[in-house]
Amino acid sequence: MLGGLDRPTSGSVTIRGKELLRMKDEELTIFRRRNIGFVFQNYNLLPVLNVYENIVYPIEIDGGRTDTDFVKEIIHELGLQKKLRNMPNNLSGGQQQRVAIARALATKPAIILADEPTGNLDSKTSMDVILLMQSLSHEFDQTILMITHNEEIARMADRIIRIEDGKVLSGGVRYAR
Amino acid sequence: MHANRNKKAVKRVEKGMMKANRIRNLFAVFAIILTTFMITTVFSLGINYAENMKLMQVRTAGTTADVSLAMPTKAQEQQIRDLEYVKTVGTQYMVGSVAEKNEEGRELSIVLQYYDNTEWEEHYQEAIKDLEGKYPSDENEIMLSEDALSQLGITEPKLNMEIPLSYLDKNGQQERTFTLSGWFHSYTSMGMGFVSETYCKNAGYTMEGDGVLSLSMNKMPDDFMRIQRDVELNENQSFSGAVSMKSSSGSVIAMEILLVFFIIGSGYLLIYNVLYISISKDTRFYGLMKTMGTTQAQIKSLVKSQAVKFACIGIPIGILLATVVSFGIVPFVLNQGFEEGKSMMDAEVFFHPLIYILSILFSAITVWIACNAPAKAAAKISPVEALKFQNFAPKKMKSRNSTNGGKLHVMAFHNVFRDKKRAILVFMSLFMGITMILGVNGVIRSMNAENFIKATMDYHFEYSDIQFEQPEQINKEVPQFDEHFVDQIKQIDGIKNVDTHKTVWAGIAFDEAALEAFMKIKYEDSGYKADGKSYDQMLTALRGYADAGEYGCYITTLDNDEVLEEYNANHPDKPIDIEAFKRGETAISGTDNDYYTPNAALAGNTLTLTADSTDGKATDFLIDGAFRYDDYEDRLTQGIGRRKHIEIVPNIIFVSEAGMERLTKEPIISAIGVDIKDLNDLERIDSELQAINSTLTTSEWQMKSAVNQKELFEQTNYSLSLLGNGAAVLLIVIGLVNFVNVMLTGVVARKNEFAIMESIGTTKKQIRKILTLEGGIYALISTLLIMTFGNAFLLLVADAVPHLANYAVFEYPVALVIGLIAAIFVICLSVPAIVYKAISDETVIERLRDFDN
Repeated sequence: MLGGLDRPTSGSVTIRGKELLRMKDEELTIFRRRNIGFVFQNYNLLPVLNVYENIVYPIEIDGGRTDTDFVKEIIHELGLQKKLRNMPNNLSGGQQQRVAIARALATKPAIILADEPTGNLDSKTSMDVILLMQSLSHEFDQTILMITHNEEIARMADRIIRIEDGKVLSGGVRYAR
Repeated sequence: MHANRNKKAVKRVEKGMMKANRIRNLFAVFAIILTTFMITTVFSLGINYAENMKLMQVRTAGTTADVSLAMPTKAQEQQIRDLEYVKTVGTQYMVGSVAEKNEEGRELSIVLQYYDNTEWEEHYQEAIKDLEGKYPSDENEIMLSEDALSQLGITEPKLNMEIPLSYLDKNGQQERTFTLSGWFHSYTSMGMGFVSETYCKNAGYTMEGDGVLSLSMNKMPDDFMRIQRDVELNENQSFSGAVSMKSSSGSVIAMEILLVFFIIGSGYLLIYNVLYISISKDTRFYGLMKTMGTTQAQIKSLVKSQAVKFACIGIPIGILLATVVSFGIVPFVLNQGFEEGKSMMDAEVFFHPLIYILSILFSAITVWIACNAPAKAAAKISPVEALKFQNFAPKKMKSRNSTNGGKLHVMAFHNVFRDKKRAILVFMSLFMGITMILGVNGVIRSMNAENFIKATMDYHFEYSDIQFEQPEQINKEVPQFDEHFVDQIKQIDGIKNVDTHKTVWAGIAFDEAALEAFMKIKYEDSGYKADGKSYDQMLTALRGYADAGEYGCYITTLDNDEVLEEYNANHPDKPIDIEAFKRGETAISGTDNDYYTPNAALAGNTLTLTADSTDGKATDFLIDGAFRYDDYEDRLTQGIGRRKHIEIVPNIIFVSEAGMERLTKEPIISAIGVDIKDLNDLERIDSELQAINSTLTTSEWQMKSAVNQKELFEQTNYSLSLLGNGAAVLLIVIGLVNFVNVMLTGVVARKNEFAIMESIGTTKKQIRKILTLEGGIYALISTLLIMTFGNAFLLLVADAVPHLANYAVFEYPVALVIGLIAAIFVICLSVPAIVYKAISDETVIERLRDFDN
């Protein structure tokens, strides 16, 4: 709902002063690509595009000019320089997830929504990815909203909201760093 | 190892699958029905068409015999009977002809013949229909064709009814009352009467004097050549044979093979498509089966046995449908068509077991090869791959060196070719369907009524004065048509042009010097030389004709610039002065052939012509050229004969209108050619002309109307156009179903991918744009294929068409090509986007979740 992928049955979602519920489908999609970056559990890379093309795709469909320096910086940061020409299905899970993160960052979104980004990864790769996301969020000043079943990863966040069977159990509690 | 011990289990899975995939099953069965139906109808209509053509040939020829020899000697007859390549030998006697006139004073045309048993049963019965009674056995018995009966005014024939006839036989004029022993319907233009063997014996007919041997050969036309070599003939004898134009040209065979290939190919693609798509949809399922330990062979047999089940349902239904269509509906439509144009040739429906054997065989083979590849694909799926399987993911490409792949049009391009097999499938189904339609249409259109008329007539209506067409015209010609008559014709609505040919007989001054070269060539081939007379003796005879005012020929008008220009193009060495000809100063004589050119020898000489009319006076004409037979083919002047049969005289001399003016002010209209604007007006104009004709008081003329040609054409070609158009429609349907199917599944299978694209911000509009672009690429490439390979196929068709019928003229179907390409673009551009719209109603998240499960 936050990402504008789904619509709430009641209540409202407001981002940057805009009521998402009131937007038409097309507007919503455009809003999404300008403000929100997604990282999915199953990466959701486009199989027809190579790594570089996948990363810049959200910029290109917006008709914007790619900020090459920024994209290069992300790529460098994520260690994808050598894989740019590869097709997604020739990458390992961790590599694919890094591409997905790069894609989410490329548009400089307000929020990055990550739905179990480590769900398909082994624990070492998981930790690498999370650490990376953490450092990137600081570096590029971004909010990352992450869903996870992993306590360990959750504890690394600035704020935790516990949801069980659709109900908020705890949250709003600020953990001191 | 007992790899197959769990057959039962596989069977159970299969049962479950059949139940679970109702819609897919329906699709597959439907595809097989369509394919079988198409194959069966094409075979059945095709074989029927060929049989009907053969039957028509037999019927118009009036016999199934290949070769005949008139008046054979005993020795020849014996020799021929002993030849091993002569299949059957029948004998005919030319008995005589009926010498009666009908009420309008026209002579009846009924020939009397005797056929022996072999001739009657082996050669003639196939050429007739509705036989009643039996062949005459008594001297007084006669058997008549329906045509002969109606000429005699008998509409309700009865067996043993009395038929008084006056006729001519070899003993002269005869009167006799025959009893009718039978009648039949024949298809030859002449009335036929048959008498008994006893009659022939008593009247003294013999093989040597009156007989004809009619032979059917093992292999035509080779045996025709052989018998001519093997049997020695007397001076006046010759074998005559109908060496029919057999469509055995290489291009015809190539075209037929390609057509069959295209038909089977389209069917194959359709079945393959449906099965393949259902298998890629079930990839995860097959992977799972493998994980659980099902062997490759078992999966293969699982897929195949499903295909066999579909075939068991689909093939019989398809054949049943085709049977209903080809033996129920088609004959009905055909008969309707034949009734409209007074049946000269009925449509017979042939039940050929071959049709069914071929159809079942081809359909079964099609299903088998179509399911083979998908079965293999299903068997090869590795369990691990299957679990992370994504539809239509590019399989082999590891990396690509590009940075612009995110651009919409580039994406569309990559999408088209991401699965090469699929792309080829789409292109092939579009290309084959369209090419097939173009080819079939090209064949049909080349054989249209207009071309048929053009090949057999020069004008839509041809009037001719038959006085000018006699081998010898004893009386001076009486004008049959007048200017008023021509004006009346011109006033009919829808007439394009009316050409009149004016002719006059003119004496030629016997100038031996001018005629010498001409006469010398003529002499070599003349009866004078054959009779052993010298050139000088011939000259004396000709001088006698000249003195009696009989040396001359018909002079006719030629008012056609095109013919003159073509003449100059064909004879660049000796062109004629067209202007001088049009001024009336020169004339052209005709007609020469390749080996015999007396008229060409006249060129350059001046002849003095004197028209046989009240104002005729000696007029000089320079003969400027001579027609060869192929320079000027005009049936209206080709028939022109002679007034007096003098061998050594030009057959005809052509002058311009002005030239005719110089000869006489009162030439006779010898022929009128009428062309109309629109062939659809033919019947109306025909009846209007008939009305005008009835105002003529003269009778020495005839009119040939294209209506008869058109009817003849429509009767013979009805089934062909029905077959062709039917096949074309079926192919359009199959091509379309195929394309829509591939497009549809292409979009449906990528549902998840589109959801991903939407989730990261691609708008629906952009996705639709990609899909439309994809469709555009499909259309563009298909068009390219059609413009190259399709046109190459059309070239083949163009080459083959003249071998199918001599009147056929191939025309490039410009409008159809443009229309079909436009249709391809409309379909390709609209279908994918529409399908996407239909599937993208669910929200992105629902679709994404769909993918995860």
